[in-house]
Amino acid sequence: MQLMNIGKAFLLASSLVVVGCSSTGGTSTGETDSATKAGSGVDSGSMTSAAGATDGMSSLTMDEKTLVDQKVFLFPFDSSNLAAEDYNALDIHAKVLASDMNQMITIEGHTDERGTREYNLALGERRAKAVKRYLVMKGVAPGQIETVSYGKERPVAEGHSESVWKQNRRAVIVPAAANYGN
Amino acid sequence: MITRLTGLVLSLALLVAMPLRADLTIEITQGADNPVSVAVVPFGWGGASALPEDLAQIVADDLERSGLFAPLDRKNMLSLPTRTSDVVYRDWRILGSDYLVIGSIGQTEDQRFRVEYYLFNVLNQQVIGQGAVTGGADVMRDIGHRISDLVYEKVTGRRGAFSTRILYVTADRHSTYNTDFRLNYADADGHRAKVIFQSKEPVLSPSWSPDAKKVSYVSFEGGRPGVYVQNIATGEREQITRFPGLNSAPAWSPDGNKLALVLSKSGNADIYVKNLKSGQLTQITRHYAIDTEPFWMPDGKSLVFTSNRGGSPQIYRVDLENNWVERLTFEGRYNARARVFDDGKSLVLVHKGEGAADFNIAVLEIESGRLRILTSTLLDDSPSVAPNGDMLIYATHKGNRGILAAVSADGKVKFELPSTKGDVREPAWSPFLN
Repeated sequence: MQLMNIGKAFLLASSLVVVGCSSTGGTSTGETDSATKAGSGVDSGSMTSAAGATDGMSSLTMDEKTLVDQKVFLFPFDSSNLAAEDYNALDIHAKVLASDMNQMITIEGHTDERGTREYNLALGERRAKAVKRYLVMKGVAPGQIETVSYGKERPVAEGHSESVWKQNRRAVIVPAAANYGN
Repeated sequence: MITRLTGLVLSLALLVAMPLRADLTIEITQGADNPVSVAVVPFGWGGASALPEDLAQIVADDLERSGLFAPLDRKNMLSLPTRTSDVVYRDWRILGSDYLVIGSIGQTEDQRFRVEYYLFNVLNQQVIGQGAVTGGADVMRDIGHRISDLVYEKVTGRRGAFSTRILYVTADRHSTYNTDFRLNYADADGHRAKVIFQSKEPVLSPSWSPDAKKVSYVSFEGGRPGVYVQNIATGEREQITRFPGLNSAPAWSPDGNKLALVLSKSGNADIYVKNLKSGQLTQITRHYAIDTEPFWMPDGKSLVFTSNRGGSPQIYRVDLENNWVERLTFEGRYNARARVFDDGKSLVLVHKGEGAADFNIAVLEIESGRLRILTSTLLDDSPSVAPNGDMLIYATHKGNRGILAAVSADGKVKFELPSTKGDVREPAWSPFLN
């Protein structure tokens, strides 16, 4: 698994300097679900090589970590087309998920307040599914991803202007585990 | 009339106790060109204690809210008759009142109220309607609305809808993931509002059963959506669907036996019909586009729905016998969430205009394809037709708050029901209650 991880990192992000990838030690059978889920950052010296992993908890480079922090993806009005500029971040999410089948995420789909409530529920679902489809295409198992659409029921920003609407037209990756991407 | 009210008393008594919410108030923003002048005289009352409600005021408010009547100010009345023998027609002719309503209230031995009322045509000096009902303090508003219904029907020739109810959803947002959603039940005038369901997860799409006893809605309880049916009087709830993906937009069939709804369990939002008796689920549309917001034609033989299969949301109709789909709207880039008038000839829907926030209520004549835009406010949503077809209630925005508003089907009369707290949305006007 971790080997795949390294390979992917090189393949997907040739422009990124890959430091701090896990050693092959991580593939040992001793690595249990709970170890991966519950904070490899604390007691996982055996799982990560020292090479550049200054925080001692990472299988991602610093640049990748910045990308994996992007969990919100925005859409145009009445559209579920992903923006090309989001591909880099989504690729890293795919890498994290594909490298650990135990990592689960929920993708929420949201819309702005314009238009009808139920159409927006369906539109939000299309946004969540657009993200899911991309991740699956990049090697993530469909079973790791749940989608839920809230339509316009849970806006992140309040108000009635394009700057507000823009923030609300979003898909959000919500990892199940706190150590996601670490 | 008396037996009708007895039924009403019973059904009200059955309503489970729920926390009371602030009632909605009504502000009329636009009336008809030539409203009918009517005088509603304060009802006579010989009792020692104060009356629980001012019946004449309830009637006058109802009639004024319809936009078709201009009630005479009490201050200008020259006499205050409470019995037919007291009526001096000249007093009302001078003031230009075409119709006159009087009434008197007495107390029965079991401390209930007996209300007698009369409607006069002032010009031809005749009593054209009358009635007598008995009820407790808790049904005084119902009695008022019944009198309003009588006046409306006698004068306009159309059935009044003052004795009906509305359902609506309120949302008090504290933050994105901390919002209190409440499903409310109230009189059509916004009074006597009660919360009948509440959740920290979204609640939406209330739909009345044709007998007005149950409501179907979508609740996200447990973190994902399901379609539920709730008995309004008992509070008893039943989960109808909770498939992976969407469970959305329930709409009751005219015979009350089926729910049209939206599921995406096969990967994409499609229309289904669930038979509530047999439990059988039938897929109606099968298309990679969004299909949602189904609503039954009055004959129960076809559904209208919203689909973006043509590139933008438009209204379509699907024949339930052969699944033949036909597009109904062609004007504009966004027409959604159609509701059908009882005559089956026109639809009310949400239409997007030029501006970014121009979402307005419009009526489509199906046959001619003619679209009439009724509102000019911003972000209008969720129109619902009164059972007599005369008014539409819908959600809109005022300031930074979602409110309810109503417009007559001809666009001439408008009023708002501002709330004091939170966002108010998704009004659903009940069928006639009997």
